[in-house]
Amino acid sequence: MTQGRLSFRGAFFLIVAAEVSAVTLSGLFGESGADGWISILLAALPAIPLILVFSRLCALMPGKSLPEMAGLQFGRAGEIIAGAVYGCFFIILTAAMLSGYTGFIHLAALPRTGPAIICLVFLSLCACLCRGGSETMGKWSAITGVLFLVILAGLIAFSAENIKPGNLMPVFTTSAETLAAEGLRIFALTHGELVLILFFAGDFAGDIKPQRLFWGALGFGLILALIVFFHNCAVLGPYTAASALFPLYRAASVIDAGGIGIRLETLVALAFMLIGITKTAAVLMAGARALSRAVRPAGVGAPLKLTVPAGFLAAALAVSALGGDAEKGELARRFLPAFILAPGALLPLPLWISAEIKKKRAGKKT
Amino acid sequence: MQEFVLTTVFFLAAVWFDLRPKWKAGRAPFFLSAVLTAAGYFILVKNIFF
Repeated sequence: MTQGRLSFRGAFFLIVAAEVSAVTLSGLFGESGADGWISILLAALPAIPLILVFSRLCALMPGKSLPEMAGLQFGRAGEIIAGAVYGCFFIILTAAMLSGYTGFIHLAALPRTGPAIICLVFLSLCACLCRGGSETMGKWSAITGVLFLVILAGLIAFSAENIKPGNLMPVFTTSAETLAAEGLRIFALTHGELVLILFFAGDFAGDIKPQRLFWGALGFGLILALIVFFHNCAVLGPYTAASALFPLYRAASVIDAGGIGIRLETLVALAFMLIGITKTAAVLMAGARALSRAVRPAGVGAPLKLTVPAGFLAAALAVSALGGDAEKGELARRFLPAFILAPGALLPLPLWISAEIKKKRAGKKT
Repeated sequence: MQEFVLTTVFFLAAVWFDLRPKWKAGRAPFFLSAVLTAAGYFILVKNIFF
């Protein structure tokens, strides 16, 4: 895998893409209806300590990726375990991404084409992007991030006449338990995958301050999530939006924008695909890096190019286990948030605690 | 059938461009890649025909 520096802008939009891809696809609608914005805000609360831990890890072990950090703290065994666990985690996550975007492309643009074909072509694009290295990934995510924002702004501007403020009412009707459960699900889907940025931490440019980067991206992602939620809710109403597979695309399809109405749908589909390629490629790259650390010690030769085999397996899982059977797909979607939480939020904690203890001991000795 | 042909083309491309150069890189990287690629191909083909 070609190494390269990841600029602040590239890393920023990479995190934002990781955060908002689930938002744009699913719209984050659940049982909370018009109160969904409360769940989105609640979901940001556990993300705050997570970001503090990630920033601290980057500050304690600068220039190291997560498996290298595990190697520093727990030796070669820690590196192998971290590499294997996160490799499997990211392969399954890539499969979930591929399944979601394959489903969208199949529904929106290519209904007569087999899912396997769409999935493999989508994977080829992602694999090509991965092989370009971190620098290419950063440039791509910055360009597509800006393009996504322009399309979103255009969509909101054209939907001015279709926005019905009454759809945002009534509020505060959902129970606290439902809101908390929704918040946890949204936290897993939007912030739980942030751990992938630790796999790019070794490629951060020298001028990047991790804390500033993480806080900025979290705030920006949160604002975007709220904008998408309020837009979908105001245009479609909470219950129609909750029943739609892809609410933002559905909202674009009902907007009456004269002769260019159909183009709005196409633009939204383009935005979905661009952000999907960024997110899937980033997850795939993280998985390939994790696996390569598991089979080869640090500092021995160039990192392995495991992108294609890992992606191929993820595509197979996406087509068969996640997308092939509606019942299995529903089951996977239900358990995906719980699956993300452990490696995404809990596993970096022992690493952080160990690094803090070691630093304290080193400080006492000197 | 189209899906099978495309999957096989992708598999052969992966073998040629990805596995072939790894033969010289060492056993562990080659076998890991080979297992992942073969597993992916097997699951895809099984999904297409069964």
